[in-house]
Formats: sequence, C-alpha cells, structure tokens
Amino acid sequence: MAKMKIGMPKSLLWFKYRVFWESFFENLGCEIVHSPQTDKEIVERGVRNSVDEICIPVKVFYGHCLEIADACDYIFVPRYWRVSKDSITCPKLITTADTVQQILKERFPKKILTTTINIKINSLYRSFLRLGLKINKNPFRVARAYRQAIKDQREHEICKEREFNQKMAQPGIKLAVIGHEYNLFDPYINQELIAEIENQEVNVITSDLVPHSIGEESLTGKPNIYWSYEREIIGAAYWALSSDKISGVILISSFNCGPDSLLYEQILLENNDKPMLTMLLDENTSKETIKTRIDAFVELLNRKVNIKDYERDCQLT
Amino acid sequence: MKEIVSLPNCRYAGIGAREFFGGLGIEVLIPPPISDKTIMIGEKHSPADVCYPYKLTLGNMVEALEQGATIIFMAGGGRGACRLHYYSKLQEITLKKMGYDFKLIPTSQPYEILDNMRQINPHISTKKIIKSFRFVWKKLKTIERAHNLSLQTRPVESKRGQTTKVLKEILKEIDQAHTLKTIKSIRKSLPEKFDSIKENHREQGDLLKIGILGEAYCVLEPYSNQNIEEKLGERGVLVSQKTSEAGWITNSAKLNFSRWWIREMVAKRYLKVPGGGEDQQSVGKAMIYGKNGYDGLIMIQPRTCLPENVAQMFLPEISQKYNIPFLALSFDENTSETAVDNRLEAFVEMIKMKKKRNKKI
Repeated sequence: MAKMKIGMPKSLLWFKYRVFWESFFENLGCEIVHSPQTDKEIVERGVRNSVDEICIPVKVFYGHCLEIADACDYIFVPRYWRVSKDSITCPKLITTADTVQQILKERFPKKILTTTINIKINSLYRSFLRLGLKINKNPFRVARAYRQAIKDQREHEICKEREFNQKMAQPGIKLAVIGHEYNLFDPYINQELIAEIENQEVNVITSDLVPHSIGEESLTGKPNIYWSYEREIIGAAYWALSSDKISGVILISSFNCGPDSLLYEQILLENNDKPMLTMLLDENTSKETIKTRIDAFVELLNRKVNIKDYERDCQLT
Repeated sequence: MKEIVSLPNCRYAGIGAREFFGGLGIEVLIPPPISDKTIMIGEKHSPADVCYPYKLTLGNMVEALEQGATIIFMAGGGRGACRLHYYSKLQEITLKKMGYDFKLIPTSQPYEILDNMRQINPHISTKKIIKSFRFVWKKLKTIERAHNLSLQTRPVESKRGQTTKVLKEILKEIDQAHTLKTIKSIRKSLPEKFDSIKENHREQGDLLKIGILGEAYCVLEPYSNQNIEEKLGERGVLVSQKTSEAGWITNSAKLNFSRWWIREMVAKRYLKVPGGGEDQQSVGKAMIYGKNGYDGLIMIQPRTCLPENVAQMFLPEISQKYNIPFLALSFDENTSETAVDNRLEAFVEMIKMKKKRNKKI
C-alpha cells in the first residue's frame, strides 16, 4: 500500500508546532509533503482568494494551501481554539480550517484533515487520538505516535532554551525581536529581516526563544491577556523591557493584526527609556525600507551604548 | 466627593442608563452624542490600526471625563476572542496616562451589575436594583419596537424626514416617562402615530427589501455607519435590522434564543466553531435573509474587524446559493460619506433592475 501523503503548508502555526506535527504523522507511517518557500506567486494566489482586509500571514496561508493541494491526499489544517484553560487564540486562526475548506471546495472537496483543539472540552491527547484514528485504525499505534511526538517537541524546546542561554552569555549588543513565529521566520513576509539584523553584528534574541516561565513571570501585575500566542509574545516583550542585558526592542506585526494593534500600544505606553522600533509588514513591504530602518536603528543603538560607556569612564576617572 | 457615573454612547443606550442609575438615586452623566469632535479626540490617543469602536468609545469617555464623571462603565472585559474584551484594559491605561483620575468598571454580563452597584453604593437593596432593571428593560423594548416601526414607515412616508421627526419625539417622550403606565400608553400609541404619516396608496409589498448584518456597534450607532438606515429608507428600501440594545442584554445574559438558534442550527453549516464576536451571527443572518427572499444584503463592519473578516469569506458562497447580492462596507474615520452614498445608490439601482428583470420572466 502506498503511503498516505499529508500536505503541510509552511505557514501560520506550522512554524510553532512543526516538530510535533511532523513527528506525529511520520510515526503513523505517513509521508509529509511540504509546500515550497513563500514566493510572489503564492502571495498573489492567496491575495486573490481572500478578503482584502485580512492580515498577510493568513493570505499567504491560503496561497500555500492552493499550491500544495495537487500534490497530496490531505492538507492538515487543525483548529487551535483553546490551548490552555483560560485563553483563546485569534479568531482568524480558529476559523482557518473552515475558510480554507471554502476556498478549496470547488476544485478539491474533502481535502482538509482537521481536528479541534479545545482544552476545555478535550485534552490534547484525545484530540490527536481522534485525528490519528482517521489515518490508522490501530489505537495503540496512534498513542505511541503521540507520545513520540510529545517527546520530540519537548526535546526541541530544551534545545531552544539552551540556545537562549548561549545567546544571552555572548558579549556585544543584544536586540530582542518580538513577533509571531509566522512573521519572524517567513523570509518572504518579513523580507529577510532577521538576516538583515544579524548582518549588523548584533545578537538577535527572537521572542520564541524566551522560555515560557520567564514570560509568565514578567506578566504578573499586568492586565490579563486572553490571547494565548499574544501572551507569550507580550511576556517576552515585558521581559525585554525590564532586562538590563537587552539594549533595544523591535516589535514586528503584520498590518491589520488585531490583538497586536492593542498590545503593542500597551507596551509603547509602558516603555520608559528602552529604544524601540515598531514595524508593520504587508504584501507591499519592500526590502529597502526594512534595510534602511534597521540600519538607522542599529546605528543609533551603537551610538547610545558608546555614550553610556564614555560617561561611565568619565565617572570612574 | 460625590460619584458621577457615566458610559460611552451607543445609539439609545444612554436613555436606558439614565433611567437605571437615576432610579437608584445615583448621579449619572450621559456624554454628548458622538460627533466629529469625539473621533478627533479618540483618534489622537489610540493606535493606528485598532478598530473604529475603540476610537469612538475612547473619545466619548474623554468627553464624559471632561464634564466631571468619576466612574465609567464599559462593555467587554470578559474572555472572547474579539478585541472588544481588551478595550477597557488599554483604555484605562491610556486615560490614566492622560492624567484623569477615575474608575473604569468593565461589565460583560448583566449578572455583574449587582456587584458593580455595590461597589458604588453598598446601601442599595437588591430589590431596588431588580425593580429598576425591569423598568429599563421595558423602556428598551419599547424603543426597539418604535425603531423597527420607523424602519417600516420610512420608505412609504408622505413627506421626507417626517418619520425621523416622529421617532425623535417618541424617544423624548420615553426618556421623560418614569412610570410603567406611561410606557404602556406610549407603546400602545406607537402604530397609530406611524400610520398617520404613511402615504395611503403605496403598498409595502412592492418595496425592495434589504437585510443589514454585521458588527453590533457599527450597526447600532448611526454616526459610525453614516446613517445608513435613514439613507436606504429615504431611497424607498425596506430595511430589516435585527440587532438592538435589548437584544444585546439578553445575549450577554445567555438568554437570547434566536441567537442560539442561529449559532447552533444555521451557521454550523459553514462555520463549525465560533471565532468570537458576531461571525456566526453574520453568516447565519445572511442565510436566513437569503431563505426569506430578501433582495439584497449589506454587511457593515469596522475596518479590520477580525470576526467580520472571517464571516465575509463565506458571503460570496451564500450569495450564489440563495441568489442574493451583497455589499460589504467597512467604516473608519477616513471613510468618505460621498463614497458610501455612491456605492449605496449603485447597489440599490442594481437590485431594483434585477427585481424588474425577474418579474418579466
């Protein structure tokens, strides 16, 4: 029997859960088909098939799904609704499975493989068990695949924490780059922003590296944020604001992102003297704009650090 | 210091609030109706791509605080996926930073009102609160009825602008009424009042019927949707609009049956899980309007509204299935009135032609 082909659009939550999902399906004996890197054609396809006011990552996601639909048996689009008991994800993320179904309906009916993750009703294990049973009839095999996937995910997180500690121990200027994974790691959406900053010889600490416990700790005493992924990001941002080792913060958001528009304002209001840069990304963002702004920002940071060193030297002598 | 309670305006919510707090003996201040000045203040102090209701409510709060309010009630504060529930938190930070000294109480459910009242004045009895609430409920229901009658009368009025005038008079009467008896008599006189300004020979059956759906605040507040109901009515269109203040109260108390029906029975066909806000309501209402043979749909949303954007993805499909044209309008402070007028006129002309053609066949 030929292996079942599961399509993974390289967009949205794939950046966050890729290790977990891929390990789960591979252990179930499926073949994983990735969509290609985001390019102009994919973006245009997505834009054509969506409402014009939706944010760019969702448009890109539709483009990826249309691109990959021919090459696989199913496209995996889960509904991540509540990942913890008292928080909820963004409305656009909750409903992606339904809207993608709508777009693909005419050409590819029944192409979407989905499961609803709502911790209030079902545990993560049960949601994925139900999903696995659609592919493999043997519940023990599904359970084993799930356990293996969880193990891989945990290892991945430990790796990230190690990377975080390593980066924090390095000398030199450190910049915190705050944003959703799908904005930070998609080189087309952000026009290779991370590489651009690293070219300036600064250490970049992205918000996904910051351990969960540190983020939660810095959120105490602040108004309760009920969006799960925003909670992580804003926790990291507050940590960056209060940490002495971080010399500047870059906030990255996509144009028309709902939760970000409110929460970044909150951070800007509560910021005292940390240098901060906010960037809005959309399908018309050009590489030159980003390069100019990053250059200017890093230049200013360097100057500020130098002045501080100079003042300290003066005081010592 | 005496506490003065206030809340941001939303169509007729001010009338209800004045009666409720006034009946309990609490001083209440209703800010001036939303105007260009409100949005100028709101826009100045809010992030650029936040949705329109945030800017309007913030501006209105500032207006109330300038006049001396010390406590502000605001909707939201619960745990929905929509941005509404985070409004009050950021607005509090913003206003405190602007130097106002006040208390902001977010209220997401009517059940919380009891606790909130105790915070202001611990000596108010529960019986009194319930009695006052019941009276406000009657008032809001009467207002809803008057508004719906005005929507039906406007396309067939004998003189332009008369319906709006009559509606204003009725609202004034309701605002001044303080006993259940007067409310009852006003309610009984409503059909008569509106019938007297109708043109005799025109029948309602020939009129174009348009259903309005979308985000609650923008649908309700006439400033934010540039008076769309009045504009359509004066073009001879029968507008149907099912959102109201009373409906909002029942919905947040989880007692609204029609909303439950739409959520569980109608919209599940397209949207399996609720994405927060009014997305399932919009999808369900569109399907119901389509089934009932309406001639067109108009979707009203603030620009960049998250749930309405999701709902809008399904409208082309629904429009094709039930053969009903739709127009999606999004509003913010930069929406020009002329652009909206032109689009409305073109849309109405188009569905008029469509109806004529269908009749010939």
